[in-house]
Amino acid sequence: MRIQKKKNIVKLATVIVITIIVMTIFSIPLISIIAPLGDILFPGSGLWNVPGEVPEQETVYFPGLDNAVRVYRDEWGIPHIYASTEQDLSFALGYVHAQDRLFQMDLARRNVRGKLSEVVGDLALEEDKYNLAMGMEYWAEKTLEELIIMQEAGQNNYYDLINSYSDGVNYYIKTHQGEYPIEYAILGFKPTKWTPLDTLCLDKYMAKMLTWEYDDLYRLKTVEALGIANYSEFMADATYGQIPICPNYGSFNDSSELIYDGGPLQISSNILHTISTFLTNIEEIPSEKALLELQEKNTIGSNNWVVDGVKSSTGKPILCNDMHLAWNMPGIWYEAHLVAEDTGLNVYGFTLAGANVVIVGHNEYVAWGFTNTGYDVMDWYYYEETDDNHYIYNGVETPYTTRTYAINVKGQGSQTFTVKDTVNGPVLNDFLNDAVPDSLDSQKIVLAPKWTANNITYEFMACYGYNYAKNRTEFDQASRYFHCPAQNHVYGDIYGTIAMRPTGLVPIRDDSLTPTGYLGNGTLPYNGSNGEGEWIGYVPFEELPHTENSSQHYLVSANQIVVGPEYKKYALQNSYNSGYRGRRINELLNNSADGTVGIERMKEIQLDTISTPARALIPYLIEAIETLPSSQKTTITMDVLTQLKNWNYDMDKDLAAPTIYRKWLDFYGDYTFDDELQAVDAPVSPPLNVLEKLTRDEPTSKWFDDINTPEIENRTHIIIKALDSTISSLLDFYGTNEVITWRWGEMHQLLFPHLLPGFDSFSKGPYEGDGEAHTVNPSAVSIRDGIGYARGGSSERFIVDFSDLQNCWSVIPSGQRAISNSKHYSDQLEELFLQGKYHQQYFYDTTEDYPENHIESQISFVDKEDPEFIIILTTSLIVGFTVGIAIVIVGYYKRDVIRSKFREFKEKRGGVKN
Amino acid sequence: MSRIKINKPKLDINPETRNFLISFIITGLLTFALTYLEIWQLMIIPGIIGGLFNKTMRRGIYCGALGVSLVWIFYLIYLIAANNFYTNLDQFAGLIFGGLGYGSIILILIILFGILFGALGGAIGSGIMQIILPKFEETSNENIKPKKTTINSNQ
Repeated sequence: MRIQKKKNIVKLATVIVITIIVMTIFSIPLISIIAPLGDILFPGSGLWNVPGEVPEQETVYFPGLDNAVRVYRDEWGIPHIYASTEQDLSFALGYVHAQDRLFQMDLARRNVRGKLSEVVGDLALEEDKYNLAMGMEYWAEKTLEELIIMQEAGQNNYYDLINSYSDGVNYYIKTHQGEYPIEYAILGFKPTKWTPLDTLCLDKYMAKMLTWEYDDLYRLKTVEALGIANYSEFMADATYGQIPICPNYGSFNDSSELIYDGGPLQISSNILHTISTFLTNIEEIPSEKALLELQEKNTIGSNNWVVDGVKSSTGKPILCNDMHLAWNMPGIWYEAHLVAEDTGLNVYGFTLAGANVVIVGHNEYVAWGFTNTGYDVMDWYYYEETDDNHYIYNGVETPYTTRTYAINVKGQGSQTFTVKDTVNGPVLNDFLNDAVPDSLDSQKIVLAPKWTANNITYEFMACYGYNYAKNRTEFDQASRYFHCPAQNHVYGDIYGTIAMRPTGLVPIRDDSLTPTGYLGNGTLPYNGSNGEGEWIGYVPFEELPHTENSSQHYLVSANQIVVGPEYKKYALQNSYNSGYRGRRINELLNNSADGTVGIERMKEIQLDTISTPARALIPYLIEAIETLPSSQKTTITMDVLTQLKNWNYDMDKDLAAPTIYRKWLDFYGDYTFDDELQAVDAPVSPPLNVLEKLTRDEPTSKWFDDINTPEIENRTHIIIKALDSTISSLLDFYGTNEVITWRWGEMHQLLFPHLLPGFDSFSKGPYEGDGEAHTVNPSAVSIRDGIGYARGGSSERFIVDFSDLQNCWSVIPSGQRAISNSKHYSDQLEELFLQGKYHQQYFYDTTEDYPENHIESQISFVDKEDPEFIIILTTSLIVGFTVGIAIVIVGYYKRDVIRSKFREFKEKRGGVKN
Repeated sequence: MSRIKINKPKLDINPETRNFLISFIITGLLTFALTYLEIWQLMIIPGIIGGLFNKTMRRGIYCGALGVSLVWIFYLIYLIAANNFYTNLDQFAGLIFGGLGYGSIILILIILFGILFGALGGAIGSGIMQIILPKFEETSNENIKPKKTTINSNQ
């Protein structure tokens, strides 16, 4: 019996030990940043509780509302919010943003505010430090303080609105505890409260995405390596073929004009070393590496254009916009229709989840869209550092000011981090690995950028003004507040006015101390210790270029050069996009069949994949092949020739010619420039239009000569050499000499990755795709190592028809909801975007007008306490009261028993004492 | 009218089977209730409670494993049908296995974890019972004996 007992005890102990081990295994994170399996896989939490589709009918009770709000979601999940007041509208938008895009919003604010490592650990620590050092959060805080002051002074109520918006987000977070998007379950954290500061941080997030750059530093290395003369030659040709955005400042002819001239740069090896090391180190920071890759491939850009009533087949303006940004799941834009009765607001467009305004879109009177101006809004300065606390500024030893942050790192507690600020901006290279080697035993150099976003800026407030604008004057007035990122604002209205305003803060530099021969206007980093390149103001709004009602009856911006040679007062840009998209859109608008364009034609233009550079360059390749001696006209070369001759320059995924062209272009560019550039380790190649100009006008240019061979090569030599390499490379890749099977789509694929690196199973694609970097419908890839994945392109497309605002069309390359098991996660991507389709924008003024057949789900926001809460509270009170009364009654009737029991108890205690 | 007498078949369930069925139902109900709490560690409790009704560890394990896993299976079926839950499983599996199409593995793993947790809980519950029950029986016997003695002495 005892033996059995012991056996049982041993068995139980063993099971308990196994249970403890199993529970421990489920309680610790086993895979990288992923939460413990127990938290993810067991019911009650994790995957089991993530939301799916929104309810068909939902009632939200919130006593703080002014009145009831109604939200209709259409078949694409796009909310149409009808509110009595704009405060309620902001609240409801905050709620639906959180319902659809909570994790995206959270990630964006964490990125700006240096809080990524709080949830993913030290993997993101460097990124957090870097983003904090940049100063985005700091300046968002300053902007917030200013908005509060403006509110208190009665100047505007924008602060109140972002507060209401935050309330809406927070109400969703509060009422959906434990039902957050799947990413929270997998990473093992919960969303924290949303604040107005978070909203303003998103503004800086966009500014970084569109204007933050290291161009001055790369340019310095290139200029130093190539010499100013060669660099100037490239820059002079960079205007080749450009059709300026604002046509009223002259146009460029084919002859290039040397812009810069001067002697060699006087840059110390210590400075160059510091810059080189810094540029290497920043690639260790994931966000910077990703940004550099996007910039290198020309992924970030945009198209917008507008035609007036003369050019439009409808007799009223038509406005189009597609902004080219990184593709993600979910996409960056969130479509919404916002109506507020009290202020008469009725606006439809693209919002940023996290902000309470339509960024681009239209109301009943005006429409607007953006492209990046490419204005130079950021300069880099280098300073001599005398000790940890001082640097030389303008010849004087100056103390740094400092900002100190505590960064919470998951699993490691808090880390303190101090940023040193110079007069012009934060020191960014001192916390990265920038040790100067002994051989360069000299003064330590620090690098600091000055950036227009590091200011109190009001871009969302400008958009708020656009949302309400009723005419050109009101719109233009609001655009004064749009500072950074500087954008080409395309404009059209119901009165027939069309306009283009490239606007934002553009610094004016004092180049009086800049050495002779050194490129000024913020082209290269300045020696801050000598006081060079101080910003002495910003180009006045009135003096920034702009165009209204152009005589050509249309206006186009596609990141090409902003102004022609007649705009001379201020330097706005020092590098430009090569301008091919702009050229193609101008061509398509100019050459429309009957001189007018309609909605369908606009869709075709947005989806156009004809390659303008291919059309410019391929004839030279064809000519070179045709003039080859017959001994070199192999079968495969002639097959290639056939493909190219039959090609209409459409970068169609099913054709072989685009593959041959793109591969050949890589080799052609490399063989033209790399011998010179690589010999001097220059990191930047000239823009493609420079190569086009050399090909057309200078067949014996020195750049065609390969400096590594004794012969003197010309254009034809290089074209054929590139062709040979192309054929050899494509034979390797496709494994067949059947040229017709070299389909572009096999090499050029579109990828829509999830916001979090490594979350590939939440990504969409790759899909075979048409187009390339320079087509109007862009998708830039590098195919040097085989398949190229385009990770960016049109982040939205919309077309506004002022003859009928129900005939407006749009699409985004994802879906409205960032909930990965929702049908609206990728419906627009798969059913529309990839098919070249659009959805109609339902633009009804009131809920009564809104057709029922377009309501997929609806939310009623009610200005009351939640009745469920009231029922629970009342029931608890009644039960509590009844139980209390029952106890009193029972106590009263049983008082004798209680007394006697109490007496017994006292006696017992007394007995023990005695 | 003469009443027709129907002979109802008697359900002859032995006490152990009856206990097993009761414990299985209790385990299932508790599992269901605990899925509403966000504390997965509590999932061991239904098995333990169910196990307490079983005298042998084997029955305790069966009871816990079946009670927990069946409720999980029903819950999973509901989520897959109503909330497109399989997509979540597939995407999560993709993070671990590096590609889509492995959701079923995670599904099976979840069920296995349910079986494991239920079985461990059931084993603990029945193990406790195996230790406590003999003591309880001894105490009961002891309690009964003196009562008889007292009666006898009074006589």
